[in-house]
Amino acid sequence: MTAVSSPRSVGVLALQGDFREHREMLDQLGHYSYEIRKPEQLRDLDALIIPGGESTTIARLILSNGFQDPIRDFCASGRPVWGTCAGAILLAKVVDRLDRPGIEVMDISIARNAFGRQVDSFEENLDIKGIEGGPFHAVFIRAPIITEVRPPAGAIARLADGSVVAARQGNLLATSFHPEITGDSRLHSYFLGTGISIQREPRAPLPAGAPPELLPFLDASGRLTAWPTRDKLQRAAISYLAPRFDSGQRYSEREVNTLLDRHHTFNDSALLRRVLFDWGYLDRERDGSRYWRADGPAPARETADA
Amino acid sequence: MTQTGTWAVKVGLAQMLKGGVIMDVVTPEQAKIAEEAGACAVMALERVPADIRRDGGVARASDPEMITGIIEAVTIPVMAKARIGHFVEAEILQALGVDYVDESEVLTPADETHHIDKNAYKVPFVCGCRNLGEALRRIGEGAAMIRTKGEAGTGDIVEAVRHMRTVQDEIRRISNMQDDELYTTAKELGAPLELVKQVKREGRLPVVNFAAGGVATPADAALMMRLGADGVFVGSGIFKSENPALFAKAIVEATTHYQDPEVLARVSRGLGGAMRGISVSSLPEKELLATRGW
Repeated sequence: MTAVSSPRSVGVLALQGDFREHREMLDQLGHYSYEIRKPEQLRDLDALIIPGGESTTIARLILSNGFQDPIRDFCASGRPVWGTCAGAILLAKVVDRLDRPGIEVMDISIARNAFGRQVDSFEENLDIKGIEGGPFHAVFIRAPIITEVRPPAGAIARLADGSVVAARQGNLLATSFHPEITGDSRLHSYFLGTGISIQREPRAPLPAGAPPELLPFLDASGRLTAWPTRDKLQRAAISYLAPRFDSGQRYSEREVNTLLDRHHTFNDSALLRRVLFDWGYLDRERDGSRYWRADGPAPARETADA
Repeated sequence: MTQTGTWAVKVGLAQMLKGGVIMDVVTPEQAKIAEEAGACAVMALERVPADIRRDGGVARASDPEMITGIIEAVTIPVMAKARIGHFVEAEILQALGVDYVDESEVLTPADETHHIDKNAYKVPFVCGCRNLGEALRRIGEGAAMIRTKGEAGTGDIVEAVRHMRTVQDEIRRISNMQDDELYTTAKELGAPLELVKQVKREGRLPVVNFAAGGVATPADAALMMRLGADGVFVGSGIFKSENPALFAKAIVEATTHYQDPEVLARVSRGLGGAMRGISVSSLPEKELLATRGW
């Protein structure tokens, strides 16, 4: 596995499909990955992946959750965006047999289910322009074909019969196969690294003391907007919240809740209070009548990653 | 070398269905409603489980003409059910071009000893389970996707919850075992040893695991996702409700936003009546579908 010099914050659109597989690939490469279910979560990402899944389903959820324009803006910002299979369909400007609009940003035409039904799904080795180290083993599942590539888009991989199965247009990448399920991370590295230059928009300044990996969970005022599912991020969230409590001051339970309510938006101060206590950032009287700031985390607790 | 029908493409399709809702439909019109609402696949069958339960008699694989009509009506994957052990029905479904075969306890079993040898097919199979042993036996036979059995056609979520919790609990138990304890565990579960080892290594089932059997509301769908389901089958719950199109859309949104009570509250409003439902605890033992298969 190639080490990364600068870990990036990569969002995987998590409306439907195999977003977990993309996240596992990104985590293996040492990047931060996030499941994106609301448009405001796009704000501080370095890159976005639209995963495999059912394109009609993801398209419907893109529309019903107000993602269409925010993702178009994200594509226009120059940050890398990659669609795999269903994601590629959604990036194409012209799609055969899709009864609703997608993102429509790449100058390619694409035909859905172009190889037939599931019994025709297949595995094949590909040579991909820009990917070194031998052929790339690709899995095609009810896959689309890129039927036309118009400049500035260009084909980067073809099957033996000439069908285009991967294309790139500046910061936009489309593959009709699934690199996220074969364990070969070269395309993920290509996507984030050498292949595409990152031209990130200037960021809003970090809220004081906020670790960068926590950014997708913070709103403009630095409030925590969701409880992360991963242990690493939960710990980052809690160590970010703990300094809000003054050392030496004693708080009633209600005061603890009020203070926490000022610093989060998902209305679960009880959860945060309990975790702050469990992890040793807060201590309390046995009857819970008074709380105070403690030194720091107790030994790591076993936590299942959701 | 191009290869079709491999384990990777069979399991892969199930991976693409994750986070989605698979809806039972009995006509091309219903299939279109499901697709419009955002279903990630449809299950084509002659009668939804609630009607099978009401009508009694022998439930068999559906008329090929009906299945073909549904395949032609939509662009999303189409699944269809074969009877447990009825490998000829499965071959017919494969020949029709269905994308997934459900070897299902909802139909009347054709074989009381053997399930279908699913490794022998290019089309992938999904099978029901009540516990980890049953899930791993089916995977050993070649199932590329697993679902809870629940109790189909009741609109009562209690059995699906029991089955999902049981599977997750047994996975957690195995994850914490010493290697030398796995042999006896495999024997007790009645599951292939290699698959038990794989569960310990990876801490999860080797294939995608959906919830099925009794999902009737958006909250039911979100509950199953919270309990660790990768996605949801909804059988009678949609087209036995008062507003199928609204219910279908709401359950799709709920399956995506299962961790977000505010979204769940919004999408659950004003849907009209859910399917009527039957409490599973009121059913006599012999009417339970989940006890079919082993």
